[in-house]
Order: sequence, then C-alpha cells, then structure tokens
Amino acid sequence: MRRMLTGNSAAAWGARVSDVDYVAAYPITPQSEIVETLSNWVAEGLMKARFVNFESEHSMITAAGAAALTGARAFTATSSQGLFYAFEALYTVSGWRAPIVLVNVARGVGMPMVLQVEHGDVLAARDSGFIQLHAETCQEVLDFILMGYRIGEDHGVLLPVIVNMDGFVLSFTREPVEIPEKELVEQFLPPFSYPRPLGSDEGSMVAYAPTVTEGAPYTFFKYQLHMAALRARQVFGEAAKDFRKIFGREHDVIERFMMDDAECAVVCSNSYSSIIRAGVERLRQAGLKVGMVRLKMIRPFPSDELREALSPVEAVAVFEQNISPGKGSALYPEIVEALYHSTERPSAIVSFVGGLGGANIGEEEVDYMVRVALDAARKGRTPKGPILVFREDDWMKLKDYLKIAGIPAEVVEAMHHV
Amino acid sequence: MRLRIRFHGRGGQGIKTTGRIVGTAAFLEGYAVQDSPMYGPERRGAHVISFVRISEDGVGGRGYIFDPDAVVVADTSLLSLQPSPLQGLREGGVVVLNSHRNFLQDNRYASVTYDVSSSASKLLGMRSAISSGVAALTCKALGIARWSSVEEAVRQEMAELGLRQELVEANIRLAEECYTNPPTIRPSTESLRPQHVKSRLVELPYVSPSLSTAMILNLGNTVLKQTGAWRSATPLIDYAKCTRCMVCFVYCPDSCISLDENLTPKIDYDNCKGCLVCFTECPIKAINLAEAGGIA
Repeated sequence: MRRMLTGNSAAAWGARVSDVDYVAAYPITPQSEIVETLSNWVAEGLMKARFVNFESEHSMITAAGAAALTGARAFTATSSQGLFYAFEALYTVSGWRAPIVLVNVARGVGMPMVLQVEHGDVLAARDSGFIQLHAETCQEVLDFILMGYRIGEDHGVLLPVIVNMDGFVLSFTREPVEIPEKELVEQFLPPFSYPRPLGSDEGSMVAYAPTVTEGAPYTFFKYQLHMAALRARQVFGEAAKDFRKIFGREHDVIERFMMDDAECAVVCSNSYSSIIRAGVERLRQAGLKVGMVRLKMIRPFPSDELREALSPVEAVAVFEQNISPGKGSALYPEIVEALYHSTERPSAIVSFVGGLGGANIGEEEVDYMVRVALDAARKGRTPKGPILVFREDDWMKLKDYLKIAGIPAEVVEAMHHV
Repeated sequence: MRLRIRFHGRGGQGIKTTGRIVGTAAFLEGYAVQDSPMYGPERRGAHVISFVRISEDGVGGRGYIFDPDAVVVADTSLLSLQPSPLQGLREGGVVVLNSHRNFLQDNRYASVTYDVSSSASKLLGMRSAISSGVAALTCKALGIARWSSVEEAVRQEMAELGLRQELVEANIRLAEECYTNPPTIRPSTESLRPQHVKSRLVELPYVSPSLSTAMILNLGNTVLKQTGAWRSATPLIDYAKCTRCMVCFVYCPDSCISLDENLTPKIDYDNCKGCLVCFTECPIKAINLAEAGGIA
C-alpha cells in the first residue's frame, strides 16, 4: 500500500507492521504524533500491543528495555530534552542487551529552547551502546525500524537501536511511503525471541543488572558492547540483502551519490541531504565533478566504507548540524580519522556547521561549501573549521530580534559580521 | 511537470490542510510529491506558510522553497508584509490569489484570482477554514489535477480531520466552485528565470556574554507586537445596546477591553486578536462582527 505519510506516521506504521508488543510513551514536540497515532491504533484494536504512558522519558526507556527482557518487541520514541532526561537509561538498556527500537526526532537542545532540527541530541547518545540509523526520507524511517529490529534482535548482536529522523523537516513532511504487507514483513522479521526471557521458567532464575564493583568484569561487559556494535555492521549487510529481495529497496551503511569520477564530495546525513543532493545535481549540470556521501549508519561508524568512498576524492566538505563548543562538531573528527591512515587521501577535508535549530540552507550554500573545499585542496591549505554556514538574511533577522528583546538599537547596529 | 509551490495564509484559514489537499491530489495523479507546513506561532491570524513540491520523476530538495514556481496567497493583506510573500518567485511564475479583484500589477508574473472567501462564507459560514477552496483553485490554476482527484483529495483530508459528513459535502461544493470557474495557467517551468535572491554567508562576531546570552531585557515587549494584525474578524460594540454589564471586560483573555469611568467598554484594536470571546459571551448580543477590513 502506497500512501502519503509524514515522517511521524511512517514511524508509527513502522512499529505497527513490525507487530510490536509494547509501546512506552511520553509526548514531546516534534515526536508526539508518533505515540498519539499508536495510542489510537491500540485503542481501536488495530494493533495488538500494550500501550503505556509514563511520567517521564527516564521511566519510559527503562520500561521499554525491561519489556524487551521479557521477550516483548518494544518500541518507544522521544526527542531532544526527552532523550537527555532518559540519558542514564540509554546506557542501562544497552547494558541489559535489550534490543528495543527508539525513534528519535532530532531537535536542538536548550538553552535556548528551540523545537526545530539539529543533531546535538542524537549524537550525544553516540557512546551509549545504541546502534544508530539516520533517515533522509519518510520511507527510510519506516524501513530503518524494520532493519533496526532485525539487527538489534539478532542473537549475535542484542543491542538497542535509535532510528533518527529530523524534526519538522521530516517529521511533519509528507511523502509517498510504501507500507509493506504483513506477509512480507514476516518473511523479513522473524518473531522476537530473547534468551532466558524474564517471566519464563528459565528467566525466573536470572537476576539482571548486578553491580560488578571491579574493573575487570566492568571492562569485559563494556567491551562486549563495542564488539557487538561492530558485529552489527555485518548483520546490517545480511539484513539489507534480504530487504532488497523481499521489499525491492536498497540500503547500505552509506549512500554514494554521483561519486563516480567525483573530485569533490559533500559528506552529510539525514533530511538536509535532500537539499545537498539538489545542490550537487545543479553543480554537475554546471560541469563540476561533485558527489555526495551520506551517512546512514552512525553507530557502528562506517569507517571502512567512508575510506573506500572518499580516498580517491581531492576535496571533502563535511556538513554537520551539531555544535560542540570548544571543538566544532561531533562527526568531523571521526571522518578525518577514518581517512588519516589511508595512503591515498583527500588533500583537504573542510568542516562546516550549519542548519542549527532548523536554520535554512539552500542550494547556494552547497555551492559555497564545494567551492571552499575545492579551493582548499588546490592551495593545499585547509581553513580552520568549523566554518559556520550562516546566511546574511538570518543575520538581519537576528538583529531585529535582539532589538525586540531589549538590546539597545545602537548596540545592535554596532554589531558587525566579519 | 516540475512545480514548487509556496502557500501563504493566516492561522485559521487551513493553509496546512491546503498543502495536504494539493499534495494528495497530485499524488492521486501519479506524481512524486512532497508537502510540508512551516510551523511558526500556531495562532489564529498569524502568518502561516506551507510548501508542495510536485514532479514526474522524483522530488528534488526539501524544506523552505526560496525560489518557487508559483505562490498562492490566501489572504491578500499579507502582500503588504516585508519581505513580501512573492519574494523569490521566478519570473514568469504564477500568483494564485484569493481575492475579489486582481490588484497585482506586476507583468513579471501571471496571475489567477478567485474570491474563495466569499464562496466559503456562503457555503461554510463566516470565518471558516477555506482550505478546500484554495486547494481546488490551486489545482485548477496550475493544471495539477483533474476534478475527480481533487474531490477525492478533499474527502481524504477532511476524513483525516474528522469532519461531519454535511461539512465534508459543503467543502466539496466549495472546492467544485473554486475549481470550475478559474482558468488554468500552467507555468512552463523550463523557461522560468530564477530571481537573484542569493543570500551571502556571514561570519559571526564574538559578542560579550552580557549581550549574547539568550534573555529578554525589555519585559512586557509583547505590546510592541501589535497582535491586532492577526485579526480576521473584528468585534464592534453597539453602544446604544450596551448595558455596561462588564461581561466582555471580564472575559477578554488578552485584556484588550478596558472600562472608562462610566464603565463603558473600549476595545484596544491594536492588540485585539479577534478571538470573538466577547462576541460569544455578551449576554444581550450588543457586540457585532465586521470582517477584518471593515473597521478598526
């Protein structure tokens, strides 16, 4: 069935066709539509699942993890401040090896409070032991939920999964989405079985979550998380092969767009990739050899695939929607590290930060990033990053806002951009 | 066909639903479609924008449309805003207006004008959402969809909103009227020349923390906001009937009604948002309505 769905409804459909048993909920903009939809479906009997409203995200994630330990397929969703409120619980459920799927609808993190997209929330969770899949389209939101359960529930992995979609730009945007038939989903996603599930005869003899008090057992269990996450890379490959066979859609840990013969690549992730894709197409029409590499999986980090895709390229522009005060951005160091040990590597890798809190970027900004990166490669000198992508029309707007907030007009007028 | 449309209207007109109806109609015609609203202040009368991208072979881009092929303006009072809703519209593009007359004298654009609001007042009552009408007008003016698809799209989106059957049928009649009468001007998007709306990028200066911490120094600054501009209908007190009972003064949620020494209520039209609570609550019906342009 092909229908126009928002990213949020695509997420709800993802949970529904995955036949989840347990939905743990707490509302937050821009995620609420997901749990509202699921709550309606459960109430109408369209989904056979237990729907529970919690008093906070902390309890919500803990309960979803606990449900998974009983052998129930558990789903939950949050965003930004909600994810941070649950932060401790993220490490708890990954340590429990509870393979839940958590949809994060990316949103900037206060203060100041904002509702629109950036990846400061989801990337802060990159060391929590969750697998992370990041979606560009509403279809990918649905597909990654299916992929997420398949990978996380694999008995060689047993890790929780975050599926990320961008707030507003994807969560409230409608696109045609193919909702797969139940029979096909059953072929792809076998029923969930947890080893020694709580509540079973076997499980009733297990005590989870002991304190270990010493470094050696702590290290052992933590390092297992790392190795399980690396194994998820392989399992992704197997799952993607089945996915293509059953649903006819292609998924890889990175996407290469117009990368054959590319001299410059823009590296990006999530929904703004659609803007970058359009910008890259326009530059190709103008004769520039430009391509795009999109990160679809952030954890485990696809270092090998990135190295393979970017080694032959002269110039790389990394565009990120997050900021790490005092450093720059979260993913740039990881991308540079992936390329550093390669004998053949780009002459310049330039870091750009923009689109914070939903700030607009257009195709001209893609143009700009590509030209700066190509120029840096030609001169053999990489400008100190991150270069902030901030539009002059936004600067003018900002000055008006500062005046309304009571900063004296002459002080505001004396502020000049560089 | 490759069309990128930007819709401008006011909160309460149904601009989000307008985008969805056009999106669904184009989807039913087999196009690749993307539709999205831009959320700002979710308040009646506030400026609301939504977007629809339509193409035969996959939609390019996402988010804000800076250089649309067509702009739909559901409330012509928005045309006086700076920046104008027409900003970035490509030369040769189409403006679709909800208005009783075409006062847009700009030969860079083609335009289609139809008075959706009057038809909606007759069919749905005053101050109702006009999404089905504006969407049908857009589909016809830009040659996006046949009537059968528009009708189906209105039904689907109205069902999504959970509207009563008679209201759905009234919306279908409104859509039909707004579809049947106006002409089609399909913009030939290949020949459209983009306007140069390029925004430079700037580098931010370092500003002292005493000025660059998010804070509001000017407390009570909402009075600067003149929320009266959001009003789509205006309450008018009939002083011959008014008994000075003070009910309107008590009920006004924004303290826009004050009393003078004789307890005569006065409405502050600079800030009255036109919520019409006073109109509803007045026990002797001494408050009348004027459409926004009537008096203020």
